[in-house]
Amino acid sequence: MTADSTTLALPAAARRRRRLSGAWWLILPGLVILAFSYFAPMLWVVRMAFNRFIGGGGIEMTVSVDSFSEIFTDPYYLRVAGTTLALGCWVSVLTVVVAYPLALFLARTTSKYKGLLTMFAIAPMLVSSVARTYGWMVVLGNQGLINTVLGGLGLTDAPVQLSNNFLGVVIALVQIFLPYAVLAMSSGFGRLDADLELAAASLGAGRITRFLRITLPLTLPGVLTATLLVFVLTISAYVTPRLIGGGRVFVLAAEIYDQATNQLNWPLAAALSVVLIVIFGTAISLYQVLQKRVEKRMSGL
Amino acid sequence: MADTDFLRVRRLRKEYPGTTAAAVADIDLGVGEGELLALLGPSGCGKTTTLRMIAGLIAPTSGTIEVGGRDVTRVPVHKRGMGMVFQSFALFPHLDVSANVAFGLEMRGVKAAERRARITAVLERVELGHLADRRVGQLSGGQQQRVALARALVVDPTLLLLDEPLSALDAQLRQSLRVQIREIQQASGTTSVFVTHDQDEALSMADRVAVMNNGVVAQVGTPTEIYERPSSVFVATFIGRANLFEARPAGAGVVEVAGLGRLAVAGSAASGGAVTAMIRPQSIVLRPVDDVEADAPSTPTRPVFEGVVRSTSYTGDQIAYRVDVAGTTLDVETTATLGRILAQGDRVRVSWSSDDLRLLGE
Repeated sequence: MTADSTTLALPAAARRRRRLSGAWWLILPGLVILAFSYFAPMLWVVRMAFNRFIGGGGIEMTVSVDSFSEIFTDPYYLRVAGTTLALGCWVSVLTVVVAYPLALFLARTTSKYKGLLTMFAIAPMLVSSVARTYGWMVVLGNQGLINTVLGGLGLTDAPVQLSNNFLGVVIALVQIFLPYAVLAMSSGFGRLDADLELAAASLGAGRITRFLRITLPLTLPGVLTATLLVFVLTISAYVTPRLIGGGRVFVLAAEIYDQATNQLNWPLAAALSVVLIVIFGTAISLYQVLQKRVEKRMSGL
Repeated sequence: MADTDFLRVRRLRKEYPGTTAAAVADIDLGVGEGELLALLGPSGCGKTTTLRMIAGLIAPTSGTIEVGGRDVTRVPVHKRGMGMVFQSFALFPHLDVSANVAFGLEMRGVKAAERRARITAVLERVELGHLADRRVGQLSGGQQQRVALARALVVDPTLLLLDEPLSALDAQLRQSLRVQIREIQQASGTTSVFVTHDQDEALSMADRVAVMNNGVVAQVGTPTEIYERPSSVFVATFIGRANLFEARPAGAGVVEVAGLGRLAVAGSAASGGAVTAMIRPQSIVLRPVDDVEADAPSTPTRPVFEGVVRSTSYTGDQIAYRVDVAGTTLDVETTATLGRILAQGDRVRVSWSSDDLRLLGE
């Protein structure tokens, strides 16, 4: 009996070990690439944030919190961080609100053109966001499409300010990130069984009640994922706030670029990066707490 | 369809755009109060479409649906007050068992105290009282099925509609739930329509069965009527097994079958061309030729033929034989307790009562 169980147990354990080491071999290439291209630069950035800038591009290798205290005491940097956060919130909420009906339609439709419709929805991703930003400048500018039409029709006396300000950046970013939000949501809407809404209807729930009590709760995980994705993309956006903002909308990503390449103040650029990373981290942690709670409810377990 | 019927479906029709044949073609159905009607048919026969039109989930192309004397054809689904059990059960995964059951009561504005009492009562009735706080994902298939039933019944629906409620479950569970659903339906006295493709389910549970094929009702009747007096070849072969004979009418109550000669039949023969006669495998009596009783003479009401056993299949309580008789092969079923088991090549005599040989329509 004892002999039997050992002879049986050994190969199983060996098999498990071999499988484990096999898995490690498979993720090794990815780990190596990450180590060189991500972990190392990240450590370097964090280290750089604690160096001291001595003007004219000079950097003193030391351990100081000068750059951080500059960020947290100078109202300018606080305003930049505030603008970035506000932009992230506005764009992510508006994008999700616009994308939700589209994603719901794509998830529900039984049309034979479903594939084609999905492709149309995500087609804008095929065009670079730089090109789309220039497109929006043409549309939103003071001599742009919208203002020319409004002025030509005599509806407005002076051009409506749609570019070189916060509003313009929000409009452009919502459109640019819309496909991402649609993709993130419709992939999560798969669990929405059409029979559930029919069951709710047969139990006496009208259209609005069905949406609020059944559809919305069951699509919430997808909504959360899309919100996080767009938020993260927005607060790290550089090109669109730069071009549409016209030098009037200051965000962290643009400020980091400016400090690093124009002022050559690498410690401050690094410290701003750390602040941005902390915002990312907070957003992702918040998302995971919410997602776990929602998932637990949705799974029915 | 009687005037007293609680549910009356008149010339109900559904055409889907882009298809030539109607999914449901002008059917008439009546269900008496407290009765359980099974809609039975192969997949694609229109039975689920019919049920969904009654529920209000699909808008009919034409025709009317009346419940308790009131025309509900244009009433939206959420105002029909019917209870529906779906094939997938369609339980709300984000709610626990009692919240699932509570849903319909909340929609009707039932007060919290009464709601609790009714939920407790209905969960007791489906024997799930101890699982009220469970999430639906933690339940077995059979338990989910009973939650779905409780959720539909708790609102005292005018009609209980069941769409293949047992087909997602395994065979053993189906058997016990059949009995349970039938008992609960009878205890509540709820008029019910039940869709199934399983003839055993339909025959064992329903007061009456409507056999559907290609969007029309082929026959409506009690389970025994449907089984013993099928009106058509389709019904005869869809419900149970049947021996079919191509025959020619040869006078009143007599047909001529190639190889078997003139046979007395039940049911009236359509005059003229070829007809089909049917006998169930269980109605045929099989005796070995050396059996004393097999010596009975052949009479018009009890014809006897000699044959040879071609194959035997033993399934415990039943034995299914295939017997070669005068150039045709007959399916014969006997209960295993009667006499010895015959083997391939055994010479036998087969006989039947002329009452069991029936003429069929189309």
